[in-house]
Amino acid sequence: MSKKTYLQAINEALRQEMRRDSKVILIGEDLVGGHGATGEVGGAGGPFGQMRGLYKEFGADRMIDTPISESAIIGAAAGAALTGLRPVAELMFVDFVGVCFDQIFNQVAKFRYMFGGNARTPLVIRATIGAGKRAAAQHSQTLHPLFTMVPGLKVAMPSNPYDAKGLLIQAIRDDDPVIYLESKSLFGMECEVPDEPYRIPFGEANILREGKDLTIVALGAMVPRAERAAAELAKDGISVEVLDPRTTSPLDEESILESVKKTGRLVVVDESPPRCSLAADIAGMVADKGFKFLKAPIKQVTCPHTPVPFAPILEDAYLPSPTQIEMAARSILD
Amino acid sequence: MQLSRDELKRAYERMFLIRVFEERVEKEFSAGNIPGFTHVYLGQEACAVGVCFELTDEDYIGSTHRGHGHCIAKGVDVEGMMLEIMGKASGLCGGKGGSMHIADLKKGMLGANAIVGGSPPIAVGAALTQKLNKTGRVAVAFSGDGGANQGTVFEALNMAMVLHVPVIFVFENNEYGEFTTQSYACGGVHIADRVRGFGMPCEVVDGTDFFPVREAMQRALEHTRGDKGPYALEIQCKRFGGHYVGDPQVYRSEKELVEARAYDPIPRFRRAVSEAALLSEAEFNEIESAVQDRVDIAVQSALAALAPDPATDLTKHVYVKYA
Amino acid sequence: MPEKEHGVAAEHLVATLITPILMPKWGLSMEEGQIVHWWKSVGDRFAEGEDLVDIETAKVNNVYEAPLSGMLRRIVADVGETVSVGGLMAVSSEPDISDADIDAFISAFQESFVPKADAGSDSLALTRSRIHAGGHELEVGIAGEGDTVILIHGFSSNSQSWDLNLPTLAQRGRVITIDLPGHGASSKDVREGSLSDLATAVGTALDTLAVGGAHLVGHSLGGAIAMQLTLDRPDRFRSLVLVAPAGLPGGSVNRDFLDGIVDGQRARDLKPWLEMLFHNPDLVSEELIEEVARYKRIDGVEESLSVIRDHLVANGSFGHLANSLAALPPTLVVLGDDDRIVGSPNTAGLPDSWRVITLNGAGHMPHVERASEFNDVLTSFLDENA
Repeated sequence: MSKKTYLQAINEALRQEMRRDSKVILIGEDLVGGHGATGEVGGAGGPFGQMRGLYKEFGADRMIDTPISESAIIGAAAGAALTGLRPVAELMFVDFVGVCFDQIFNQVAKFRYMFGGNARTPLVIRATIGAGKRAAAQHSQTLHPLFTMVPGLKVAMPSNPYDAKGLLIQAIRDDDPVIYLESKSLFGMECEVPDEPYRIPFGEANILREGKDLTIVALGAMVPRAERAAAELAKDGISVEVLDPRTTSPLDEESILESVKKTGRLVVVDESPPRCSLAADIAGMVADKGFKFLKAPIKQVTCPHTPVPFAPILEDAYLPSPTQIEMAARSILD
Repeated sequence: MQLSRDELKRAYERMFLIRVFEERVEKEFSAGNIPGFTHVYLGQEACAVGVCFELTDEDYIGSTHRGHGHCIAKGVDVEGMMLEIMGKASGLCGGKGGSMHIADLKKGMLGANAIVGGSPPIAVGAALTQKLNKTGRVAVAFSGDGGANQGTVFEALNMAMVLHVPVIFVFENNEYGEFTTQSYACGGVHIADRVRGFGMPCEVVDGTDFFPVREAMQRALEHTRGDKGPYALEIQCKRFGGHYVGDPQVYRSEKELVEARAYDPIPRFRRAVSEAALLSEAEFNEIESAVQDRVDIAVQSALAALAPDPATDLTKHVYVKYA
Repeated sequence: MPEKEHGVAAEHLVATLITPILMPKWGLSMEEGQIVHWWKSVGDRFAEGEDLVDIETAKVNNVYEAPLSGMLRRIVADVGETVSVGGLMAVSSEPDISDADIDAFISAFQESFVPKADAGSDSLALTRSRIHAGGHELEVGIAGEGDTVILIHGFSSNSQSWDLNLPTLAQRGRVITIDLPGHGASSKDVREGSLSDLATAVGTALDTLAVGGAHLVGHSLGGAIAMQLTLDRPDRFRSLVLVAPAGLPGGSVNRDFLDGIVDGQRARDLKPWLEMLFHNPDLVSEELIEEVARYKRIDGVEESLSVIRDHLVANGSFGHLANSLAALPPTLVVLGDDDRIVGSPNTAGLPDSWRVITLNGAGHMPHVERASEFNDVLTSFLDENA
């Protein structure tokens, strides 16, 4: 056990799974980098460094650099998964899903059902998500709702290094296609991460803070913000439970409902525009199945219904802040 | 012709089976026994059978929305197919897929695909598995002249070259993408020219004759199995019917439809083989009658079979294991 | 000026009549605690040793007993609040001290209080090392010097389960913790997982450490291992302490508990089984549940636990221990009066020389649930046999 960053946790999960199972391959743009160029091949380990050192250990057969060609990346990964490999494909930025979504939602997600249970597609699609990096509208989105609504996909959104490793190993060993979303703004976050491989089962929420007055459900990069809001509220004696579902599909409805049953109040925080967001989904689920527990209206804290802006002052205003979360909580407390 | 008599019988049997099966699909569709819509392979039998003739169950194909012929040519069971096309619980896909999604992975059939241009990227991946596992097997990506205009197909062609995988791209140019001709929809004249632009060898083949298709495919297999990278065939053929069963084809003249029938690959095969005295009339008749029986049995079985049960089947098989 | 001097003196005098009740430090890694329940209200009198407040630490909730007799004048930390070790939880004084004086005392304390930055890593911190022992890599912790005590934890637990006992033991001498194969930070493959395999692995580690003449303390499964190890090497140990041990005559092993721990996949599945360990189930914190869940998620753990479980419940796996008790060195048995895991052993059948102590209000974890009583009983036994 030692402290590791979110980025190191991802790297360690990839490395340990590639060592454990020779069927695990990585495929995507610039996982290696530098093929055909004059400098070092594989030095970068990806634009963010998740793959650092992997090319040296596993070579070009299992670290497959592709053209900038997302449909072919996902399609090839799908075909490889159908025929016995366990590919981990990368969309460098989730925003690039626009050019390959057919392969994801019409092909990968549906093979098993369309083929009457006669196919397995053990495929992981890794992609980075999140605003806050001044990367503007086409490199900053958090598109988990898009994937969550597709039957046949599973969606994981780790909010800390421990979860990043355990959820990625689970994703790689899972026999179903998994969308694994890495929050760019959390890459430097550090916590204790076991050195051994371990799996966090999908559909198991993490209760980061126990409380009795109000529940905040938050996802991905919004989790640390929710924790900050909860710490502020605690100063006034308000006891807040912070719950991270970890995966949006499957969703741990049971834990969310159990928490709301205890607290009677719910704030859902989602880095996503408001319409058809996970905030709306979770709020709807609780209104449907847990209305009798509620002492106050459910509050959703989301981004505005806009693309992600570039100017730092605008982007900062775009993301749900701890203060906004705190205010939403106060608005439903007596 | 270097084919044995048994091989010739098999080739004819497969082509005739596609023919009878598809005509029967049209008939059952008209009778209201097939839900939804369906696309038949009439007129293109020599393409599928020629391409798949040398493939084993361990070689993979990815198909199109017009996929019945590819399935049959790859050895998929016609009774399971007919059950599936009629949406029955015991169909190949449990009635969940239907005509446009028949798959049989045990036969190396990666699925019919209702997205035009859907299969080529997937076939590249299946070929990648063969390369990494060093199986010596190949993957074949079927698409049409319509698919040849899809970006996914260009990406797949390029990726196949870059990854140097044993994949064979087969473009069945039946002159129509839905209701519109290839001559209208294709910038430039030949699909093959585009493919060659990726640095990939591509042959243009007469798809109304089984023999040149099979021979071209032999060269393609020699190339890909010899680790020389991907290969492509543009197979020119005729679509006898409409885009879908029931398409009134107002966009095609009567004359064109009649002329298309002149390129029927089945009598052409029978004629050539008979002239060379390799198979007798009796042998052809025996094959045809056995095929008729098989399709009859498949249809009778499918008509009598049970539909899936919403209580148990609707939500089954979305995931291997969820939550 | 003299008036002011007098004032200062009076303040000082008043301050000596006011007693701060501070967040205790339990275990080596405790940095802060959260108030779970106050057993006394403001104005209540309490006697030394009475239950005063329940505190949740990172691992387990525990009751803090009044360090002296007095009257609860002010609760500074309400339920739900978190206080650093050494921080102010409440104030006690006789009723004749005014509220104003209490207020002044509290604000003076809070102004000057600085949480110890290294509260979590004091001088008693264990020195950790890994020892190769017959194909296993065992995590060993050592603290203190002198008369040596070896602590062997129980099934699905780890050395941190001794956190509430370590400071006391490290003060009186040397203490050595060993994570069993398949547990804690040790390697996770347990091979056969039989009692003698586990005992041999621990024995090999002790050989490497060249430990002789030590006291051996084992909890639960660790108790059975300690007995086996002592039978294997009768001359090696000065005394034996069995804490809610498996393997005593008349005892049992709760199969449902073992299955619940082995098969539970999610934290929420584990909770009822972990609660079963304690007399007071409220003592099980979310952190403890999460710690066990995290342990169980590691590759190989579930398999290893299931192998050990199968040995534990196998018929006769402990029978030979019961027949050999007379061969053991001076032995202390500490039981909880409400142990739902190993039941109630037939203490009448134990050798006359053995001492048996049953702690009231304790389940299967008397060393955690009644830590201070346990520490007293343990140290006096160890000192007698030093």
